[in-house]
Amino acid sequence: MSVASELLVTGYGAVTGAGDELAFRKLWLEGSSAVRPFENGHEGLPPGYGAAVPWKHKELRALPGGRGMRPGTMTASTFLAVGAVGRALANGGIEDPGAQEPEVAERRGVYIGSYTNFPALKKHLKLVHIMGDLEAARVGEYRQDDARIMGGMKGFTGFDFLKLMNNMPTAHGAIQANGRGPANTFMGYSSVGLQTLSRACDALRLGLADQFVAGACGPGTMEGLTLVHAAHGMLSDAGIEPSAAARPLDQEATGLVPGDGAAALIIETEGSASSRGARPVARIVAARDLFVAPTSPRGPMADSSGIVRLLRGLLDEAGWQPTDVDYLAATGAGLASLDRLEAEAYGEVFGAHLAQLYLAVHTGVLGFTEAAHGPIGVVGALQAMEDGLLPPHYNLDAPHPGLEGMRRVAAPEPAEVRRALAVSLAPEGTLSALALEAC
Amino acid sequence: MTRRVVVTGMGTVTPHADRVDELFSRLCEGESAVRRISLFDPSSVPCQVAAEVRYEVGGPDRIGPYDLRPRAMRFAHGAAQRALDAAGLDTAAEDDFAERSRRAVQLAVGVGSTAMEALGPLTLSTWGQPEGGQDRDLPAFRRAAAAAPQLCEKLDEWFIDQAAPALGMLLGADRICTAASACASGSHSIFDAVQQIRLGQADLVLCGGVCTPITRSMMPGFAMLSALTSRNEDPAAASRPFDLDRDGFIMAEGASMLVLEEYEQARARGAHIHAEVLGVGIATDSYRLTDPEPSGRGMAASMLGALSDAGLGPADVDYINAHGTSTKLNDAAETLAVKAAFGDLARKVPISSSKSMFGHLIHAAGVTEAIVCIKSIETGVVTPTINQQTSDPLCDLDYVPNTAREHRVGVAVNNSFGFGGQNVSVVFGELQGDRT
Repeated sequence: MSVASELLVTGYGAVTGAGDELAFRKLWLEGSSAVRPFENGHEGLPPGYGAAVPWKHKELRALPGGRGMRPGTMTASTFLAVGAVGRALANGGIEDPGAQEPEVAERRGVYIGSYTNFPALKKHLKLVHIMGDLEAARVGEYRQDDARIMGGMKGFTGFDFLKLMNNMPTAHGAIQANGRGPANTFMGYSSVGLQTLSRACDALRLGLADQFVAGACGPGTMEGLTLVHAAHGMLSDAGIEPSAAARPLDQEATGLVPGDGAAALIIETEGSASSRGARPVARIVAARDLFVAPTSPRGPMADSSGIVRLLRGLLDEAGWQPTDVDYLAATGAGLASLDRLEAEAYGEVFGAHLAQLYLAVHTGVLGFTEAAHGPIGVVGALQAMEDGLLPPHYNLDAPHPGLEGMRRVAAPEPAEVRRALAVSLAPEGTLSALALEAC
Repeated sequence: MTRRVVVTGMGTVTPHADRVDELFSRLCEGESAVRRISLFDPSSVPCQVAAEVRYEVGGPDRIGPYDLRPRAMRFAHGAAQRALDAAGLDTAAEDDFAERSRRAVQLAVGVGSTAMEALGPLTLSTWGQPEGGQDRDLPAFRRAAAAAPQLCEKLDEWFIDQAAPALGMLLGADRICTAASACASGSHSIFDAVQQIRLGQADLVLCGGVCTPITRSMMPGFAMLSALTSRNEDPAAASRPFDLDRDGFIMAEGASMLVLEEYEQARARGAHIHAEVLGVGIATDSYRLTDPEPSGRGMAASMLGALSDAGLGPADVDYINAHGTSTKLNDAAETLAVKAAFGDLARKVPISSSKSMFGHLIHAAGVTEAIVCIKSIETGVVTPTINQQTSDPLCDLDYVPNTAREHRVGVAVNNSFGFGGQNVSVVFGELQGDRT
């Protein structure tokens, strides 16, 4: 797909384990990590550490459109999403969306990517527990006594069920941003954040809206997701020094390090941006996604050929050569099976140019933020376009084969970043990428 | 020039039947599929009726690495395979990159899984006898789970993220996408598929929705939202959209899929074209999470947007398949919205709610009801809204009460409106040669 060149990014925001997008930038430039031992509600969760979001509800309410938001009606996914939407609105110069004319609201869309809106397990476990038959459990079976269902439901409210509907991050976000145009929640894979941005561009190209608030949320430390990753042996080893655990594209990595995050962009047509005097940071030049069937449901893919096809297709659509790229926001999940393929693909596509382009990997700083990972990578690229700095590589000491000749950055380096790619690869074989050019 | 989008395949697994013709025939007879719940003993829950799929859905147990035995996977695969068979399509070969790059899957999935029950033994072994009144120590549970991670493997089913990849393998598609906008999800999948074809990103999209929400937690949960009926004593009469005595919707399960193709490609391969997707419209209430905006502002905007996209006006519409959930708020707001969008013509266009017969298929509702629209176009019969006994002054349009009607349908509008205020309308029409 070739996205029209006049689609501009005029604002961005993020919520991460380091804090908002400014705190994230600061931590990355310092070469530090937000990964810490789990506490405050995460006790006992594997792997025992992660980058949880320290945000408070009052901070959310202070953001544009946040005054009426009720955090008690939100899951972690939704809470992160509306935080990022609020930050993007603030940075994009949309301070009071609710006060805008209906004609403006009707031309504003809201798309949010969310791996899942899985809520905290506690209440659901209570239901499962109360209905259970202990004798059956002793022989590994689970039988339920349906007469106890309502007993298990004590303590639930209707909102507990409304909260877990997968469209809630977008439904809240649309109310917050006063978006009356297209709204949808894309979900299911950790690469869905970039796919969401791509779909927003599609809707703008078709004239369905003039402006989009689009992004993704990833509550990576959420226990349901963490337990699934543990079940599949995908998490980093327990007992490692937390700040050294998240090792993107590094051969010493032992697995995913959970991280919370969300990021959102204001994307709009040139006409919309100029009519409101918005300052464009970058234009979106191309977007692409690809599905490659994995060898098992949670991956990995058999080889790197799908990633190579994705990258070459994207460059082709952007009309760029590999040597045109200044900045590559990589995935670097920390999963050996995926990182190895990612490194191999970059080696094949960029070859000797890896010595010049900057490979940006923020997972060492924030952990793996699931669906938010791709949009946070875009935010990092936009920040580099604006401040002209390349952050140091963090926990990337022994890159996988393919990256031997990569440009290594030990301390912040000044650089002009004009052309950037963001790449989001899900272990399950769904791959997305986006090409951006500085304005 | 806009690339035209046509429907070349339809497949379904619904409470009534797993064949499109049989489903439509039963709807024309005004047959309700609502019964007392059989998937568990519902005696203790407020809503004890639902529309279940009560027959075996055949098919393989696996496709590639994906297990098709879970109920949602079985339904999704079943509907998809039937749609592809009807369209005369095979899986694109693994090395046929040219073909695969022109194919996509767009799927709506959502609430519903019993996978939480997989954690039952672990909760009991950690916390002991349920009646013990003990503290449910969550960190202790987490530590137990971390020590025996294989016991959490079935949680995968909760994430319902494997249906689209499985269908991607079935079709042989380079692109897959999963999305959810609550009750509007199915129509949203059509919207997204049309978008991809119009932009030239794909020539063929398998789109649809699947939902399996009749579970021990979802039924009481939605009852707590005051969304479900409590008319347990007479299941077949429980879903009564637009009737004065309606008191909530009926939960239903199933899956439906459409094969959408770019018109010239479909014609070139000699595919049977059932209908054309003439227009899509989308609008958001930006109002409240649980209630529709009471004037029907967003609903009207989605209908008018779809008609505008189709280059048509209200006078061109022969039939509306309503969202018509049987809740007090939706049906009144939808009636206002139709009046706002259609003006004086609102009383002349037949409107019916299929949910009166098969309940609310949530993420699969929009596509299942799209199939009903297309069959009405093909057969010249509009299905009824059953259980119309007492008129509601707030719902005073022609809802095709109780009996199907012969009525030529050249253009049909399908409405889907979701929790959270997400509204989608799709306009279907009979194929008219070289429309420009």
